[in-house]
Amino acid sequence: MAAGDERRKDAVILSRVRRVRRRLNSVVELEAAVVPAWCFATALALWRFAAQRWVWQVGVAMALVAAAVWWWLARRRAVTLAEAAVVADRRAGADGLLLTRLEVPVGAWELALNQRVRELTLPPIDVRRPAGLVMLAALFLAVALWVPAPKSTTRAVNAVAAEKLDDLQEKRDAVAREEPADPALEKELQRLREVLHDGTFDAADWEAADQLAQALDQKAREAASELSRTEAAAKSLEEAMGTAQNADAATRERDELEQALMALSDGAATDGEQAMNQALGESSPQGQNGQEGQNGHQGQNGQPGHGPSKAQVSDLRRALQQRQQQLAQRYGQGTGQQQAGRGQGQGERQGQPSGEQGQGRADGDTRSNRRGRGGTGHGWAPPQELTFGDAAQLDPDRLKFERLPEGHGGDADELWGLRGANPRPTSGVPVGAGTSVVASGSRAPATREGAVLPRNRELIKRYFDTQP
Amino acid sequence: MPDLLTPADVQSAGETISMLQRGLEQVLIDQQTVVARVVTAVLARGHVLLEGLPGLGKTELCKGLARLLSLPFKRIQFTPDLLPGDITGTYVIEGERREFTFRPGPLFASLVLADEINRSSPKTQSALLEAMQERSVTVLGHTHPLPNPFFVLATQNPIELEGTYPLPEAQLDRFLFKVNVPAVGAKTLTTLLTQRVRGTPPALQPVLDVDGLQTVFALVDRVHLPVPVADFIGRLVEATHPEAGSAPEQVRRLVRYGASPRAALAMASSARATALAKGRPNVGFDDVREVASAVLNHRLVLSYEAGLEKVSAAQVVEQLLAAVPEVVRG
Repeated sequence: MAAGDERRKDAVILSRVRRVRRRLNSVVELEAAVVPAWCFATALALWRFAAQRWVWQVGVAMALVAAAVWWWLARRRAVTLAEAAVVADRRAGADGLLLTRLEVPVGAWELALNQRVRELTLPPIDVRRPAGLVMLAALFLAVALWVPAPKSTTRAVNAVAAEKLDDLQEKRDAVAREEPADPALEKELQRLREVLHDGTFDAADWEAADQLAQALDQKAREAASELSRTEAAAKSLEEAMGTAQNADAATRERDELEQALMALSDGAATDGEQAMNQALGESSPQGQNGQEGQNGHQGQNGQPGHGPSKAQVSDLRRALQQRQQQLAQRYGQGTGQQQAGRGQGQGERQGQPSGEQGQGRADGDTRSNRRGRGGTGHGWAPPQELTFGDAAQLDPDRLKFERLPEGHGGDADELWGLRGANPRPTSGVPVGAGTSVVASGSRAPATREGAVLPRNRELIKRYFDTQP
Repeated sequence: MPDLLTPADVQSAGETISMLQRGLEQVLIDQQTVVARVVTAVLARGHVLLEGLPGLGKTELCKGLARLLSLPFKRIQFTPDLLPGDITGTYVIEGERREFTFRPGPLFASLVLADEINRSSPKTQSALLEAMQERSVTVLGHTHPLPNPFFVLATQNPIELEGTYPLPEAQLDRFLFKVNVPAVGAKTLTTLLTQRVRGTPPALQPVLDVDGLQTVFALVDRVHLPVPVADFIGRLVEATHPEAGSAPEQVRRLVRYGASPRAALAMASSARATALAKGRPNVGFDDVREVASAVLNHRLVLSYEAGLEKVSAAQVVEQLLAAVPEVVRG
């Protein structure tokens, strides 16, 4: 083939065929770009929303991959020159002559062929669909990059690790309230947090976190131990101080009550009542209120300066006894003696006003009332009418003869032997109606003259007609 | 590669072909398609099977062609008792020396009309196989070449099945075209009645002699077949096979056996002849589409489903042409 003929073919025929080819390839390239564009846009959007890191770096890498895929697809689907020649032959209406011209010289047919090729119109192409799809992918990517990324989520496998580190942080804060934080501990905790953020929390980090937790637990236990010891010491100190104060107050109140009772026994009702009111007012607000109520009643009756009635005196006595019992219960001494007194008081109290504070039993009251005013028996029992005469006689069985045990001296048949045997040294106040009675140890041996209170001496004298 | 035909060559060949067609159209009125197919087959040096109802002028077409081409013409009426030797010829003892002498049969002619070919036995039909393909006849070990050119124009009646023997596929494959001769209309019959007394066709003058015909054959061979068109022919024939990957769904369902490579050769040669007849020095896709049905419809063995659905081979070929693209991407 001559060079001139080749040039003519290239200038006239091939140039038109190449134009047709480029036009057809433009559609092919657009269609080939649809899938990579959508894959790229979707992958980058997912990466941005999922990983939220290195978006631009990953985007560039993905774009390179998508471009490579697009190039490969475009080349694979590209229209060849022969295919373009077929289309051009059809478009020119050459009936195969253009195809023949590409293979052999057509000689005299060339003029006609050239005329047809010049009149060749480029094939219509429809790029709207692929171009629209590519533009849609670009729009999707733009929106995906424009929309604010959601808050990063921790992977499920690291969520447990994050919870573990949160627990460590709470423990560390708790320990930091008691003592300064350890810098090494702080550094290790920070390192674990960085590892968790990077998503490389592995078994070694789990082990480190466990050791950190153990160290924090040890510190917490030590701090708790010291705290408990401190609290115990403070409580002991407080109790000691409170006990000392209460003992002093009880002693003072008891003395005042004793004085008030003594005043009542001496018949100085008004003075004694005042002393009692003073004592109750100092010791207990309740007692004060109750006494004020009684005083007010007396004032209304217009009997100031006169002694109270016997019932009032009896009420006052019982109030005093209740108050004294409360004090004894609260600050009682010699609990063991108190318990022992409960066991023996019932049987030995008959005719034995040795108890410092008698329980409100009928016989006790009877004996007290026989004195005319006042009495040693007082308590919480409801007020009763005072009885005199036979009804107040003692039960003879309570004073029946009883032999002394061998070795206690004296004749066993003599009555005085009773004196040596009863009352016994452990005599106490019997418990009545659930109320406890303080058996004052120092004053318990009421049979001894030196220990008998003045108010009891009269009583003993009336019972026994002897000097106590 | 020989140079492309010149416009002068194409023009002269086109004029000759046009004369031939016009002459045949005088014999077969208003059957331009049939005439064009027959002329194309002659130019492609192929054999033609004419199928149509009796009385449509098939035999007269063959006679007119022989007269136009000035070729030796023989007519063989195929009957059930016809033997191969009756066609090919046989050795007879003759002369004073009483030697076997070969007496050629009616097959030894340039243009042989095999009338009612499906009425003879397969054995006799098979006698045509070598003659149609090799253009020679072998009798008693001696091969006798047939005249050049050699054409077989066979006719068969599609409606008479009793006492007939359908042509085997190998025989059918040797026919370049199978041309259906359609029935004519009233207008054609009016023309026939007014122009022909007793129905005798007009006397025809030869258009070509043997040398002129050989020249036209040479021109046909020089018609250029571009590679994309040849590729289209190859893909078209390949797609006729149901097991081929490029076969369309209709072919897979309706075709049992596809066309042979001989069909591709026949399609190419007939497309060349068609292009030359149209005055072009090369084959185009349209030339292939034009001859595809005539080349393929008797070469496809349809399936049982096609018979049930009354789908013809021509319809399958039409679907094939619609399914196979002229150019393949990639």
